[in-house]
Amino acid sequence: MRIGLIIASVIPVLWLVSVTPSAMAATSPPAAGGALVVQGTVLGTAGQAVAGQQVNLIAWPQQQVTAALQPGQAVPTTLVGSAVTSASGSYAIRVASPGGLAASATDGIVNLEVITTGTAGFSASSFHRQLVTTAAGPAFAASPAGGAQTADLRLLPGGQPVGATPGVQCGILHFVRSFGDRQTTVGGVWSHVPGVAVRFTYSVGQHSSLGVGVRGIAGGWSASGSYSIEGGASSSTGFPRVSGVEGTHFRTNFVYGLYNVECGGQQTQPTSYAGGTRNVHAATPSATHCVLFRAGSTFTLNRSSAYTYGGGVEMSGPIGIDLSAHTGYNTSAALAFTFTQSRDLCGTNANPGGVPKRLVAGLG
Amino acid sequence: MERTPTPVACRSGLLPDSVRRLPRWGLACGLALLAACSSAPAVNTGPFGGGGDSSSLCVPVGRGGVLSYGLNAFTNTGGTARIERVALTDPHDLRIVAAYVVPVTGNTLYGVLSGYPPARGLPADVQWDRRQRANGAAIPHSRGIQYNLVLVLKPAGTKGTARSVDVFYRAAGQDYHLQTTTRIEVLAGPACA
Repeated sequence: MRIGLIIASVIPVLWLVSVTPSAMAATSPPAAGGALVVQGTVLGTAGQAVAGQQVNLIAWPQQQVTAALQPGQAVPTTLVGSAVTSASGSYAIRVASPGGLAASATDGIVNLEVITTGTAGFSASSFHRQLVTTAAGPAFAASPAGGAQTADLRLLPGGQPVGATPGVQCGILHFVRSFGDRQTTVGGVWSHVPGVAVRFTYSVGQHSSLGVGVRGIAGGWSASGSYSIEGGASSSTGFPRVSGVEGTHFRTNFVYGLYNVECGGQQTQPTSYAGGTRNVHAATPSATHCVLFRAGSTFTLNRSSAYTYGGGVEMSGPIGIDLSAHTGYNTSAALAFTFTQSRDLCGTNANPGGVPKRLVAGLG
Repeated sequence: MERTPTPVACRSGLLPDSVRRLPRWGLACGLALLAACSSAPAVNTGPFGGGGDSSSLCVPVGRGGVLSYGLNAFTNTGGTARIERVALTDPHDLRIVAAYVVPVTGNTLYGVLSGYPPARGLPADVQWDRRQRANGAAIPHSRGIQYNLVLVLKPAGTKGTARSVDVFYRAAGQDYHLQTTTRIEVLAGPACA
């Protein structure tokens, strides 16, 4: 299988020109080196492999740039690389050196997106990577699953040939308007018993990966990847303390924005943190990986891979579906348990000393 | 005593000039340095796995009391391994009185309790009768069970702390190092804040 591949070093300039495959081939070196960042397959609206479709990898600007956009303004994304799909619809994009993307990074995290527009349709998928320093220079950290990101793109109705409308720059995103504050779950805790109190803090510097929605010219919205955004309150008051028999989701607010994709469709994703703390009742998950803590103990989970809340972002109002929310606690977020009686603490995935994901207190 | 490489020898900038001038000596010295630098096994890369989310624990044990610390468990994905030594990472006024490896047939671990083991009413999953002293313990392939590390910890004063627990072990002729991710604080008082 031959994958049509065009590689580009990072082009740290405002991407304002729609680039056709032939144009890219003329301006970019052929596939030779660089780290594989993203790969996948492009399928048409009927599920068939789409050959000859250009796929671009773009980087979003820093969070404060996106948050300041006014309606009608173009998003100053950076073209990172491109590829053209093979006969089987496959594509792969390598990046020789991501060092030029440092200006796009927030706390070292770069928000990336593969996007394709054209006669066959439009699709996009968002993900993010940490920029790390290696002996060979700046590089993207591997995807959470290891290796390159896989982004299979199913085309949505829409798109038009490049140049069909003079002056239109296909693939460019324009900010349309804000969807306002959206309640977002950034943590959760459950208890079957009294004798345990829990405090959740979500402070400045914390990052959450929130779902991105896309749709074509016709049809509804669908989830398509995630966008990393910094949140957290400047005060250390945290969420209201939870104690007794309770199941709680900790919710705060992020602002979501609506974007038009030229020659494509529409996209929505978070633009800024809005703050606020609210505890919402949540059904208790099954948790069987237990450890007994004696009365008087405290246990704090202060760096965690956490858990992805499937419908964690309330977007059903504006777009008809809720989007995912994942907060991997870093040092800016913590879940602190205080045991006034001897109690079990149980993880849904592993015991509390491992990678528990969600924690449930029970009778010890 | 912890087995760590000699830091000075691992810094290329501190190698003597004579190493470059005398190729044979240099080669021999280089090989020796390479061996010394590679003697410390990488953390959490062996068949016991390791790592996990970062957390911190505080447990009160009362004056003169000890903590039975059974928060961490591991599996062995390889052949039979031997634990050579269990130690606390960066301990301050905290020492290990005893260390055991206890097979656990289910998901419930020993727990975090005051006093010497075994505690009364242990979960049925915890196979205390099949425990081994951790130092020198032979750890077979897990085959559906996990191994609970149970340490008896005693603070020297009013408070003892450690950054984590280190398990040095050997499997298939190689040395490995498992390091837990829970900071431990043991108070000689009635309750943690």
